[in-house]
Amino acid sequence: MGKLYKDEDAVLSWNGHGTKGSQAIVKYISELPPCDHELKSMDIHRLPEEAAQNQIAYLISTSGTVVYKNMKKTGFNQNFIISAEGARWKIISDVFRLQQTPVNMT
Amino acid sequence: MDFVILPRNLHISLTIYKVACVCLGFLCFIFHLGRGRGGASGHQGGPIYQFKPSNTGWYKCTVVKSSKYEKSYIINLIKDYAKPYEFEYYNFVKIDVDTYSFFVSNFDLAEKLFLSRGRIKTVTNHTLIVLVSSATPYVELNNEIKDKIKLVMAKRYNGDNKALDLSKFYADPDFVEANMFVPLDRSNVMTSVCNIINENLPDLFALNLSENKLYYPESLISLAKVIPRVKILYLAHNNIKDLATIRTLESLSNLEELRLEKNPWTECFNEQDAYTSEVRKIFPKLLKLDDIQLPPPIVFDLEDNIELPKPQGSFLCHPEARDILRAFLEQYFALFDTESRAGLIDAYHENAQYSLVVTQGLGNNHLLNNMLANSRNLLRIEEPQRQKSLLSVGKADILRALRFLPATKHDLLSFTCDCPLYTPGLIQFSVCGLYEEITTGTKNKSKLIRAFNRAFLLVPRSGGGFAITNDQLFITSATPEQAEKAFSSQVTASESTCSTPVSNEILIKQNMVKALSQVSGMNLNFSEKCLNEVQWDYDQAVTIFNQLKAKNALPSEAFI
Repeated sequence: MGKLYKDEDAVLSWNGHGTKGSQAIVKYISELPPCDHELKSMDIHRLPEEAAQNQIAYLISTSGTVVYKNMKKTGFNQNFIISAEGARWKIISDVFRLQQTPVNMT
Repeated sequence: MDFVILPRNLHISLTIYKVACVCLGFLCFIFHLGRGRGGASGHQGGPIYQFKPSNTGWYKCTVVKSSKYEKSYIINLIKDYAKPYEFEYYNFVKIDVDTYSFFVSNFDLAEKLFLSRGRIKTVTNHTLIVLVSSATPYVELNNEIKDKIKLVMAKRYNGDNKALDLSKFYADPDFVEANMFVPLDRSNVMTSVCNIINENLPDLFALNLSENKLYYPESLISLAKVIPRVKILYLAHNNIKDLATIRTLESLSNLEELRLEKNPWTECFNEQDAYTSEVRKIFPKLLKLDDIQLPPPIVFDLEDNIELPKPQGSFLCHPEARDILRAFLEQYFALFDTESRAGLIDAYHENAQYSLVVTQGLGNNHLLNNMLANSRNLLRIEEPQRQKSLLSVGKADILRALRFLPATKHDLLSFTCDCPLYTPGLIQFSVCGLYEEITTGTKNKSKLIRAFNRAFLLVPRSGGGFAITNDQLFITSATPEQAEKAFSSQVTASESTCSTPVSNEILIKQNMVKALSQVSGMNLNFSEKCLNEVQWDYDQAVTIFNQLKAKNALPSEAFI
């Protein structure tokens, strides 16, 4: 999975936990419990010039359900920015949230 | 088979009998009669007949040619004969003019009745013939019985400990008194009990099912489904014959205390260690087995033990983001929660894009379908033209789309905010949280709480501040747990709420003025006057403007 993320700069925010760099992200993801995702929706915007800064980039929002071992099915949202690096898409940012009871903003 | 050795000369007739009688379950009593004389099992000299324990633990007893006698009279006769055993009988009914039947659960009692021939004499010196067989009781449940089951369960439930005691359930005096027969080893009885647990006791902590003749794996499968949180389970003195039956309870991963003693399967172990080890393989968290404290288990550090990291309220990749995003969220959602949402027009960039995705959730989906027509779920919508039409581009288009959404009241304290990208040229963040959908005309109904996720991109404006270039809104129903907790954490809000209402009102008005000015082409001064006259009702202001414009009744200085 490491190749999906932009080497040094990619940022993962997993349920409020931040990780930077593809290696660290892959390590973080590999240490999560086994899970099974079901994708239910996706929406995509191309970033306008003002935001994309001369690159081809997209904002992607997905949603679905996920089951972790010993946990009941929970809704999730995952938002990405991907950008073209040569002929490859790279994930610039990845924000994941479970649909849980409120956690007060800190 | 109920007999160990059979007399040779009976062999052929026996086979015929066997075929004829198997379905009636009356094998043993027929041979008993055919034997021609009474006597205890293991009687010396003659053939040895042995009364064997029943598979189900139940013995059906039939009193034949008994039409002359009252039920109570028969019961008393048998009671006297049965001594020293207590004559505990269930489901004593008249099955036809001439015959009574009942069930007993005690092997010794059943054997004594089996050997009774010629020994139970009536007052007229007639012999009362009691036939005994292993049998599976057939139980029919009607609503009256189901209601009774519920009452008995309620009586046996301890709310303080969340503990339900169903031990020797069939023998509960309430059932006996009502002559109702509800053995838990029958699957329809178990199903009925499971349904009651499922509907009324979802977080049961302890359950006692001892002495219920349980043997049927299917019953335990349905049971396991309704008691996922049980930590203490008693199954002692039942009829569980193998490991596979116990494995049906495998999903009870929280189990800490279990009693299984006096089951055929547990009785077959010679060594306690082997037994403990087998049970622990199924329930790794077990701390107590058959009332014996177990040493804590030593396990490998495998993925089974990985816990999901606790959620954090926010992740901000840059410390500066905190104040900017907090101010943005407070202002944006204050404007969003106004009736017209007109103030939001200024939050968006000229080339901004907005779209909405709506999906059915695990909670109350009432009225959610109203928004589905505008849902831009690209997994479902493949036609490019439709994909394009569901994307709002530019301020006016976006405001129109936002105003189409039902009225809302956001719970700011439910928000989480993650900002993975914060550069001089671009800020990306996502907000999750809850809001109430304000419905009109549906009074006295429970609140419609929605969960949303919103991905925003902001770029700096040349004159200071930020503008939204992208806004992807996702809406689903809040889960019941979320709905319950929404708007409940007001106490901690004092810090931020005391100053915001006033400033928000000013902000809302300012933005309305700007919005009206943009839509109408009037200058800010005239726009404000116009809004002031209609008590800041944006829609009315626009209507009046259009009317005056049509009549050409607007002064030219309004447009300077």
